[in-house]
Amino acid sequence: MGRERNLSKSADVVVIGAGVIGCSIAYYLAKLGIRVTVLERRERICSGASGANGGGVPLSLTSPDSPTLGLRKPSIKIYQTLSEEIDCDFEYEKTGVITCAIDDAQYSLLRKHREGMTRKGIEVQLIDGDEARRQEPALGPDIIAGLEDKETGTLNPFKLTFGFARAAKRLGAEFLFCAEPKAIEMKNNKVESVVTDEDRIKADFVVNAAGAWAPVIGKMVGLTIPIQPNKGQTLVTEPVALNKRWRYVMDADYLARGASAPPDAQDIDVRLGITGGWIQEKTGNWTLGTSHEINFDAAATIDTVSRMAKRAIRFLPGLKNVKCIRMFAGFRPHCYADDLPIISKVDNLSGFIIAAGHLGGGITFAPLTGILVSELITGKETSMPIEALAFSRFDHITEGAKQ
Amino acid sequence: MSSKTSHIRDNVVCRCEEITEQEIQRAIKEFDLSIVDDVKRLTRAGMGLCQGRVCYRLVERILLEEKRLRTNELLPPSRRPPTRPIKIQTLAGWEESGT
Amino acid sequence: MSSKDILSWESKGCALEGIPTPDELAKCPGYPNLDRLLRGPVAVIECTEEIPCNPCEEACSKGAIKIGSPITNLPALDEDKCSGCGLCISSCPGLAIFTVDLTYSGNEALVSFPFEYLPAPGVGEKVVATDRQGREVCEGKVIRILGKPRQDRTLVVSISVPKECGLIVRGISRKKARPLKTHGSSPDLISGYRILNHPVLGPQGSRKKVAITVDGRKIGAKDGEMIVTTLLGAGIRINRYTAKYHEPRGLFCGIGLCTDCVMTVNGIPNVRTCVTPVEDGMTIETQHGNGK
Repeated sequence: MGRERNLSKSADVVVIGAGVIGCSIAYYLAKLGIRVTVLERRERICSGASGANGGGVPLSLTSPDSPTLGLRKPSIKIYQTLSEEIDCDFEYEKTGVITCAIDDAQYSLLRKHREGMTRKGIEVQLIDGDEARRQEPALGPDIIAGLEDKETGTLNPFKLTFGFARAAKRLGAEFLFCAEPKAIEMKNNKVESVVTDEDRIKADFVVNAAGAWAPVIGKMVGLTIPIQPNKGQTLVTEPVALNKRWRYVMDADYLARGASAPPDAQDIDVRLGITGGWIQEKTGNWTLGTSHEINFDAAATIDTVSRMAKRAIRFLPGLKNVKCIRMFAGFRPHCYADDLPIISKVDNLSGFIIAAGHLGGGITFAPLTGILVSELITGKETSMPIEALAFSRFDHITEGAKQ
Repeated sequence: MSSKTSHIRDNVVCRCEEITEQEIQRAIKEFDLSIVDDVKRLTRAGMGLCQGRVCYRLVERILLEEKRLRTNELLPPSRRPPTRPIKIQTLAGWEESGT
Repeated sequence: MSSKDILSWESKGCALEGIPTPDELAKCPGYPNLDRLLRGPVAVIECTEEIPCNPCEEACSKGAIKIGSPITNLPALDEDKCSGCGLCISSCPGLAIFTVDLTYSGNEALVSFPFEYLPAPGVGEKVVATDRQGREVCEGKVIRILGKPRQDRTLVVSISVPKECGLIVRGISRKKARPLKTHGSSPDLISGYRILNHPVLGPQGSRKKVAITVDGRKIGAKDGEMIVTTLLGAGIRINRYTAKYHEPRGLFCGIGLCTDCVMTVNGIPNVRTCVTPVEDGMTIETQHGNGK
C-alpha cells in the first residue's frame, strides 16, 4: 500500500492528528483558503478518543470556576448551525441531561453545583426524586433528587469528525494516513518541515492535535507537554425502549471527582475514577460510562467494567436485565497540570501550535478549537479569551530548540 | 402487519440494523471509506445485536468492489468483548460470584 | 447432434460468483474434453478448489481419478479409464461430481447428480431441471435413483434432459416441495413439522412434555428442546418484526449468531430462541422492534 516517497511536499499548515480536533482545525483553515495537510499515525479518522466517546456536549457538567465554562455556551451556539455549514448531519440533539443524587452527600453536591451555575448565569433546575421518577420512570427508587440542564446535547462523534474531514477535503485539505511524524525539522527556532517515513512536508505552521499522543510530538521539538492518557471504558448495550424524558443521565459524583483517579484512594470506585455517565442513543442502545484510569492499555478490564455495571444499575435499575454487547475504551488527553486544554502558540518556537488536552471536552470544544487555532495562525485576535489555555502557564522550558 | 419495504429496491446487508447495500455504497463514496470499521461507524452496519458477525463479510465484499482493493489490502474489523451478550446484572455481580 | 448444439453457460467466475466459467472448468483436470463427453457416459468433476480432500480417488473402482500428493491437488480424471458408472458421485462432500451421458438417446442427455434433500423425487416423475446457479433451465424426467448403502444416504438421481442442456443442468427445482405455512396457523398443525423418525438421528420424541405460552396461546413442547424448535413444530415461523422496516424474521443461522430469531422470553427481550431451551411455563412473545 505504499506511496512514492515524496521529499518535497509542502503545505501552509501541517496538522498532526485526524481526530475531531485535527479535522475541525483542518476545516476552519481550509475555509480560509489555507493549504492544509493532516498527518494521521493510524489508518483512519478519529482513531483516538474521538472515536471512543458517548458524544455528549454538556453545558453545565464542569466546575463553575473552570476557565472553560465560558467557552461552552459559544460552542453550543456553533453546534446549532454547524450541521448545515459542513453539509453533514451529525445528529446533534438537545437532549438535556439530569445529574442524579442517591444520598445526602450527593444531594449537597447538586445544591452546591446549582449555586455555582446560577452565579455564572447558567440555568439548571433542581428536581425532587419523586417528580423526576414521575417524568422518567427509568430512574431508580434510590434517587432523591436530580439537577436538570436543558441546554446540554448529544451528537454522533463519528459523523461529526468524518463530516469535518470531508468538508475540509472539499476545500482542498489533504489527509495522509499511516503517516506518523518521525521528526520535526526546525531552523532558527522556527518549524520548517515534518518528516514521516514516506514524506518530508515543508510548512509554515505545525499544529500538534495528537490528543493523548501530543507529548510524543512535543518531544520532537524539545517540549515536555504535560498530557497523559486518561482511559475511559464504555459498555454498549442492546437497543431497548427509549427513556421517556431523559436519555442523558449523570451520577452526581462526577461533579466532585471529575476526571480524577487518585491511585492511593481507599474506595476502589474512586481509585478507578468510576463515575456514571449514561447516554441512550436514538436507536435505543445505551452507552454506559465511565472510568478514568491513567494508562495506555486499550483492553476492557473486568474490575472496572463490573463496577461500572453496578453503578449503572443503582441509578437505572431497568438496566439489570439489559445485555451488554460491546466493551471498548478510549484515551482522553488529560493535561495533568490543571485539567485544562492547551490551545496556544509556544514562546521561542515559531510556527508550532498546540491544540490538545481536551480531556472530556473534545467533542464539545472541537469547533471552537478549530476557529481559535485558525485565528492563532492568521494572526487575528482570538474570538474568545484563552490566556488560561496558554502553554506558557507551565514551568517547563523548551529543552533547547533543535537547530 | 404490513411490510414497509416496498420502497427498498436493494438488499439488506446488515440484518440487525437493517442497513441496505445502497446505504453502504453511498457512505463509502461520500466519506471515502476504506475499512469495515469505518463503514460501521458511519452506517451502523455491524453495530447491531450480532455485532457484525453476519454482515462483516458482505461489507468487506462491497468495499473490495467499490474501492477496487485486493483482499490483502483490507483491514479486518476490530473485535471487542463480550464474546456474546451478557446481562449488566451479571457483570455487576462478578465480584460476588467469585469468578 | 454436433458439439455446436451443446449449450454453454455464462457466469462471473469462481471468485466473484462461486460458479466457474466454461474456461475455468475446462482448466480443471477433472473436467473431461468435449469429444470425450460426446463419446458416451463420463464423470464430470467440477472441483475448482485446492483443499485437502480425496474421497473421490478412493471411490473409483477403476482408478480413473487421481489426486496423489499433496492431497490438495485437484482431482484428475483419466477419460479412457472412466466408464461413467457414477460410483464417485456420492463420495464427494462438496457435491461437485456428476456424470453426463450425451449419447443417452437421439435427442436426450442423461445427467446424474447427488441429492440430499427430503422428500426424494420418484422414478418416472417429470421435474424441472436447474443449472449451477439454481435457475430453471428445461424439463426433465427422473430415470433412476440410486440409494444403496454404499451411497451413504446421498442419493444419486439421474434425469433425462434435452441433449443441448447436458452441460448446463446440474440439479432439479424443489418448488413443488411441501409448502411452509406462516404465523397464525391453526392448532391441527401442531405436529405439522415434527420429524418423528429422522433419517440420520433416528427416532425422536422420547423426552418429557412441557407447556409454554406463545403470544397467549398454550403450546406443548419437549423439555430441553430449543424454543425455536418448539415454535417450528407448531408451525410458527415468524419470531419477530424488525425495528426499522417491520419485516418478519425467523430462524436464520440457527447457531445463536445472527439474532434473527430473538423473541421476548419471560419479559426479557432479545433472547436467542435457537440456543435457549424451553422450560415449563415459559412465556414467549413475538418481539416487535426492540421489545419493552
